[in-house]
Amino acid sequence: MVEDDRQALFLTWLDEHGSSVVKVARAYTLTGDECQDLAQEILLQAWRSAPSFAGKATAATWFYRVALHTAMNWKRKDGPRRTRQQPLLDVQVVPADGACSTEQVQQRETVEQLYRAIHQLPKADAALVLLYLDELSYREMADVLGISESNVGVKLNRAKKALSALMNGESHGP
Amino acid sequence: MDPDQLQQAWRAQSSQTRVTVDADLLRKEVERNQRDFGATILRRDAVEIGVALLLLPYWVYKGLTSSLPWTWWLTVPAILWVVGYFLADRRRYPQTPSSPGTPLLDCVKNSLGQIEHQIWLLRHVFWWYLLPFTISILAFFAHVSLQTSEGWLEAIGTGSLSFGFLIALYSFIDYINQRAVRTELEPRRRELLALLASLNGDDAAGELATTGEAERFGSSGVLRRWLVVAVATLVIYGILLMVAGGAPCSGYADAPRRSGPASDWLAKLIVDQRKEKQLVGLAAMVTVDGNVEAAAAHGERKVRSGVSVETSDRWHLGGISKSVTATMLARLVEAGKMKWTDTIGDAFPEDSVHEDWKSVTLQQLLTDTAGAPANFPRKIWAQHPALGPKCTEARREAVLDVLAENPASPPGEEYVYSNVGYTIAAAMAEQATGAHWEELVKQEVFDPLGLADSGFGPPESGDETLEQPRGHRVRLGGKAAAEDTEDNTPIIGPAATIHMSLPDLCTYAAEHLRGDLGEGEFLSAETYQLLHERDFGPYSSGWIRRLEGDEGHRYTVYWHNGSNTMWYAFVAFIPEMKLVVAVVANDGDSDAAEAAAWEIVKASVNQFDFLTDGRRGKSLEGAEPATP
Repeated sequence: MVEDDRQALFLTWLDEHGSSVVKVARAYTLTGDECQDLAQEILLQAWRSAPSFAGKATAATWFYRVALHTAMNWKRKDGPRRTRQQPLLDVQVVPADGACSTEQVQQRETVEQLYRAIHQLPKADAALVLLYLDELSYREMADVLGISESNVGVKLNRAKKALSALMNGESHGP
Repeated sequence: MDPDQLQQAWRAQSSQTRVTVDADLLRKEVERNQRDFGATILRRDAVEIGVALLLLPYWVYKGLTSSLPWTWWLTVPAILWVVGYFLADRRRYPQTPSSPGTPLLDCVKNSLGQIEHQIWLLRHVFWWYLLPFTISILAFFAHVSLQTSEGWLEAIGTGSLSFGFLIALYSFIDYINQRAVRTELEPRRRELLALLASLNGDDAAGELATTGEAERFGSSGVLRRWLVVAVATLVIYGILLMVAGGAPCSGYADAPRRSGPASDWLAKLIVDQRKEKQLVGLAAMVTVDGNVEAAAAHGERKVRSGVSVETSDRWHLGGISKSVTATMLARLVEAGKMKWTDTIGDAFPEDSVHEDWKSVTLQQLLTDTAGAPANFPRKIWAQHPALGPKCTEARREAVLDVLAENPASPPGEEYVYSNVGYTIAAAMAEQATGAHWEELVKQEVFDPLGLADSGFGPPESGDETLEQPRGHRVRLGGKAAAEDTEDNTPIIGPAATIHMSLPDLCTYAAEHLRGDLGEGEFLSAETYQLLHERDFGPYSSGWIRRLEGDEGHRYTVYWHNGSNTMWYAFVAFIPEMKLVVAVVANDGDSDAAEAAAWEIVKASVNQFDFLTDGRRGKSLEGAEPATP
């Protein structure tokens, strides 16, 4: 019964914050297979450490902590092990109703461009940018990373400048 | 691009992403993952600690069941140290990953701490892991090389090989560890440091530079390590030489054992000679006309055991066994079971026997004039069949192998001291009687003469009780005690493996003395004469005779000695003085023991010379012993 409750709670969290798993996985990998492997690893770690979630942080913050921690420690050589498993998660992109297709294409291109830029950022800056893009507050970012809010401000500014430079460099590139 | 636009695009993309998870599969996968993790931890612990813990009982078992040098046990504290260090380190720095739910900075710091500690452990693996084993194993190797080497060159050669082997092995282990640091741990550490620096600001840059110092472990470090090992090796050799070398019984100070009415002079002489010649144990008995006039023993049954040798102990006789075998054969001849003129061709009609051997007689074999080679090939010496049918069969096969080849010299023309000749003679007796050599010796010599403290092979002497002396080999590091089973192959038993107590040896020699005087009851006077006379050179049937006047001897002396390289025995009788002198040592230093034996013979002659009718005033001054 307890196990069933845990499963139900976990699935609820996942429903709300599952996209962050995919985003972190994609931000820290270069290929689709690696992304799938890392996402599955994050899920495994999240499930395993879910009982230790004490409620001091929000579920969103906690999910980010697990995802980023796993991503930082993830090694590509773990890949072959994961590919032998059955896929644990399925990621689908569902087009929004009534949205202008031109705008969607543009947004998709922007996001692709963002991922390419994030791949070039240092790992810690990449984490900050991800949290920023997901619109977490400074307080939440500080909780995830374990640094002070003022430090978040300083670093985020620097990271955003680096991101802009990369985005602009790419958009004005040959 | 406006950051808000980026956020908007990001949000829009996120809202279109749907993630569905197979929860049952996830749970199963977690369980499998945890099992794998547990197995990995268990495997790692089993390899790192379990192997050492399994090694410990093996080491103790081997040490208890094998006669290994004491330095074998030095590895036990080395194993305990390594296991203890490992467990203490595990306790102090547990290798548990931080929970993924903790803040990233804490996780990075935790991981960095563990990685740096792991690097420290591997960088210093030589000091806490390899060095304790190096010292203990080097000490063992050095000890073995000292115990088994007969000269400095051999010891240095063996020691260098061991040293080279250890250097190669440990260099390889060290290389593997340093490679793991270089290729796996250092890159990870640098990655974590960079992450920490970007999370913390620039403060960690200094830390990076500081901890980077640890990376520099160049050739000077390697040289320092092996310098330590080289110094340790020299110290080990020095300690072992101090412990094992020098006087074999430097700490032994017991009074000599003695018996007989005139034993004072002999006891003093035995103590002096044993100390001067650095023998483990030395004993002698002197009888005149069959009565024990003096007996004395001094030294230890086993080196550094503190257990004293006694005048009643049993001693390995080596080559004196030849005389006993010849006496046994003489009994068979007198009983009509054999003839002195029996030939090898009569005893071994096999086609394989070389023609030149067929006419060789029993008497030629016993006087070492049969053309037999001095010794059997090495492969025969390596055999140790049990006494009885197996040994008799092995002896017969060994003899037939020799007889299939040419004699070493023309039979009847040349004297060659030979273990093979006596073995052939014994095999002929076994062939003629159907009994085993040891049965014949017991039946024809031991039992009729009442030699109750005589037997075959070294005297039995357990490690704990040391009921009897142990033989000792001469080694560079001093004297090394032999096992109580170590001996010549029993195949050549008729030439070299009998043991006796001093009283039994004197009884046996006294019977030959009486026989030489024509007073023997055991064999006829003719037989004794035949046993004691010589055809070529100094050797008769198991006795070496020095006539009065030979090489300065004032009396005619019959003597024999023997050694299996772990023991020494000497017996002489002087018919004119009715004197028997037996000298024994549980020490393979034959030269030193023989020198002591002749000193005791000379002193005995001088001591009892006055008893000789009409010969008073004679002495052995100027009479030097000749090589047998």
